[in-house]
Amino acid sequence: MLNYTLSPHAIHYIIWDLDGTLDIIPPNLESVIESNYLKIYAEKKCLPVNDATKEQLRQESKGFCSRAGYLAKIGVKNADIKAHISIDRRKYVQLV
Amino acid sequence: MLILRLIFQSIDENMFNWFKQELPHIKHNILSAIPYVTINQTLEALGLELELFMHKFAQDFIDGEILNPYFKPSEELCRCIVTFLDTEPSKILAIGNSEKSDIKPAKAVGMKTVMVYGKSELADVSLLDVYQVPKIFRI
Repeated sequence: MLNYTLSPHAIHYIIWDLDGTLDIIPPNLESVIESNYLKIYAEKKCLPVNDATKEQLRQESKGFCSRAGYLAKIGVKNADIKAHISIDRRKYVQLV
Repeated sequence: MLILRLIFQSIDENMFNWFKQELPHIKHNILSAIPYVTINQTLEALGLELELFMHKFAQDFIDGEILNPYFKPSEELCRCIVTFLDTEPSKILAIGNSEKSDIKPAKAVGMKTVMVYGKSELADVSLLDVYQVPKIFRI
């Protein structure tokens, strides 16, 4: 039970941060994200989803700030990456 | 990939219907450090209708038309938002996942603040995730 409440009439505007608030899933699901990045990568490179491809992705994305950044570099559209992440958010909701 | 996008671009009923139904008098806005065009692409990918948001404060433009001279995170940007919305800062609720980028500048200009995906001593309240936000409103 939250001990902080607001009257909805006291607030007229909500400013939603997009970067990491609305557009990504919670950090505890990073492994799921990684799994999805692997699927995207495998699809892009026409490779099987297995440990060898996972290692290849890990090696190739070294030096990039994120897997998403690397995928964007090799031509995966940002919106496609976000779309994969959004499905994980829904999985998360089902879990909690 | 296109098929996957079509599947995933449905509205998340657990959260996003809330934008439309629960608090219809509250105007939702987006603040981001990415370009305006990318904001729209991201919202579409998340299944969020662009019309749900009154204003979009992007790295480059406000609503795609007005040049934004301020960068996130900055108090100046938050002051600009207050002026732009033409309201008292206490009537604005800022929701973000970074104390430094989201909570601190918003709090500095008098906005109410909610931290998600982490804890913040500065924020008015810290929540587990964005899905908890509706719970803070006494409806």
